Amino acid sequence: MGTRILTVEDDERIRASVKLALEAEGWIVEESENGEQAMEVFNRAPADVVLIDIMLPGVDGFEVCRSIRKVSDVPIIMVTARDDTHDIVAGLEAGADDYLTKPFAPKELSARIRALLRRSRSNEPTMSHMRFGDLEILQDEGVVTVAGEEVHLTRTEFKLLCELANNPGRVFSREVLLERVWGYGYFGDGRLVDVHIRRLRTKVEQDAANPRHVVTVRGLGYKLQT
Amino acid sequence: MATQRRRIGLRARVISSFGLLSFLLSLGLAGATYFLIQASTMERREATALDEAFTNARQLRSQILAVGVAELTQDDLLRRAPIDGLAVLKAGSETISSSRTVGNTSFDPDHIPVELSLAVDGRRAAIFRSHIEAEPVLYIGVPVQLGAGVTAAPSAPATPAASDPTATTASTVPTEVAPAAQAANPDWVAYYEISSLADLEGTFDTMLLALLGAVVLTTLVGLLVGRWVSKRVLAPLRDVNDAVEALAEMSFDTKLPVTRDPDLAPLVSTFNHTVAALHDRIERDGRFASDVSHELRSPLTTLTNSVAILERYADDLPEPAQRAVSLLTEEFQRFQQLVGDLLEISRFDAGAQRLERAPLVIGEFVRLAVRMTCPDQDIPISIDPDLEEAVIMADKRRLVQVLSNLAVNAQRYAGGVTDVAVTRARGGVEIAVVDGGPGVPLEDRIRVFDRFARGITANKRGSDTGTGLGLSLVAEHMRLHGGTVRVEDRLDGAPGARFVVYLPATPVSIYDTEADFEAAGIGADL
Repeated sequence: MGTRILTVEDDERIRASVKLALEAEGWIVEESENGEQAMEVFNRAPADVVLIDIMLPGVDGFEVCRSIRKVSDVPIIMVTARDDTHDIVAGLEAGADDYLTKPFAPKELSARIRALLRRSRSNEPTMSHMRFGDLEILQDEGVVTVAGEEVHLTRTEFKLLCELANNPGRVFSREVLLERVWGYGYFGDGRLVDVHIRRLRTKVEQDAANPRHVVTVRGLGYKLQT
Repeated sequence: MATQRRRIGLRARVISSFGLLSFLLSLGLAGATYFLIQASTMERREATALDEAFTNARQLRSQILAVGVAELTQDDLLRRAPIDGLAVLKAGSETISSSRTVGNTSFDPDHIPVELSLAVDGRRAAIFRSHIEAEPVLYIGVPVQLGAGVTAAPSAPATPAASDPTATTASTVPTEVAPAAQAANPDWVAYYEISSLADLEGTFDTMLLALLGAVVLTTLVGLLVGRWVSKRVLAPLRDVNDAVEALAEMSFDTKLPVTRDPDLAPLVSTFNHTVAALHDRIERDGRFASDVSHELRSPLTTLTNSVAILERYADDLPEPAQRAVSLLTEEFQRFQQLVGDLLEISRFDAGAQRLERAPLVIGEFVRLAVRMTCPDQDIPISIDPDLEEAVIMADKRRLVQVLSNLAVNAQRYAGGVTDVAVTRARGGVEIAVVDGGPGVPLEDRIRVFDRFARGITANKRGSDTGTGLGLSLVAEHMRLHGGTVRVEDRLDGAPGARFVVYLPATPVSIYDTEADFEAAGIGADL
């Protein structure tokens, strides 16, 4: 079957070494050195995971990420050379599921890819149909509706919503959500959770500024309620 | 001397200058006013008195010519005497006087001052001022020619030397000596008028008092104006001070408002330029750090991946190559750590560091951090029961690095961490990492947190794998949190060191209300 990974990276040496490392894991690696080429490759044969460097000549990584998001909910990992908050948050808001900071070890990269593949392949629902007021979740179908209208979630957003929904009313700390949704340990980056919660709210809440379903419990975390 | 001068502030100097200037100016004006008015008043008074004396003398002469000296009575003189003075007629040895008082002072008419009588005896009219006891008086003497016409010809300006009270001669009146005189009557008589100047002196005193009052008032107004002016003049200084203060807190959008004032404009423009240049410089440094970081990260990424692949297939390599790969891997890890620490610390220098504060449950965090840092050891951890389930706002990544660097330091120089303790302190939280090594001597307890300060306690560079930046990064991370780090002796007196980090954040129990969280500044969103 072969898992296909698309890497978008302008530095030829990094591209080559990453390709070697990923192929050592048994994955099929497709390369592109800029945004336009990446869209071409992706449209011809959608990958299972996309790896995008933020600093690209021409169309930058954020733009590539947004373009892919328009047509696909494929897991996207942003790669940044600066652990600058601005870049990381902007990358996540452009639709990335996770991020890596250079220099990353191949072990770390494959762990991230595995975590994304795992959760996008195997959601094990406890209940297939759940309702929270005007919010309805059909886990088996992967469908979410708000007031009867279907909303489109990325796989990470969907998984996050399902984690919250499987224990309605329970408060999940960032760390627990990091572990369950992204497969990070306790010391993962809490901003991943915050940005995804924010994005989720813009999709499932009538008023994202005053959320009724995905609410913040000050100092502790998030929970889902009717 | 210099320090004494510096103690007087600019404000005080401006105010006192204004005060002194207005005092001197008003004093000068008051003095000039006083003396001018005094002189002219006195002059007018003397002229009037002289005029009157001549008129009286003329009338007396007519009377004497008509009736003779012997018929003259005290009443005749009383009629002519000045209001608060007396008139005296001396004819030969005879003296007739209107009264014996001038103002409130008694006066003996036989004691006409010698200067005056000498002048009159010499047939000259005279005027001068003097004092009888405390009474200021004006003396006028007029010789009255009985023979041929009255002496007092000139009622015209008498040109009295009024300003000089000792002047005996005010005006001289030439008298024609009569060739023939009646035997019964003397040739001439002397007529004197002595009047008090007390009323004038009183007026002068009042005027002096009023003028001095004006001086005091003007000086006070000068001081007030000085205060106002100094406030206005120093107002831009206050703006500069505020701006500099803001600058000290790294807020580089500080600008002095542009002014049209030609005296202030250069300062404002210099200041704003300096701020802009400084900002530029810091931004450039920040960008440099970021650029260097980017430039280093790309080759490091390639290296990391390549080294990992080499390691993965090391078994397929001949024995010497395998050993080389293992050396390469080890040294590369250290190199990577060093670059990472350098990049981190250069970001501190560029002021580009920002805290990512998020709520942390203290007990859970410390336990997991210690377990992650020292995975193979079972380190005893004691946590204040109140803090076990309390939340603080802190930067998780930095705090992990702090604990991990302290643990690495303990492993490297002191045989490892013996225990970790979390306690409340000074409204915040203290985390102590304790080891059983040789401890840190007193004189090194500040220096251990300097960059590349390793080897102070134990010089084992040969096997040292540290970067020398670990403890200085701990200090920087804590400073960014507003906290501190220190090293002290173990509390139980056993040999070893106790590194204590202090976080000023207020811990709030997870069972407390949202309001408590809010009060402690703990939020749940970015």
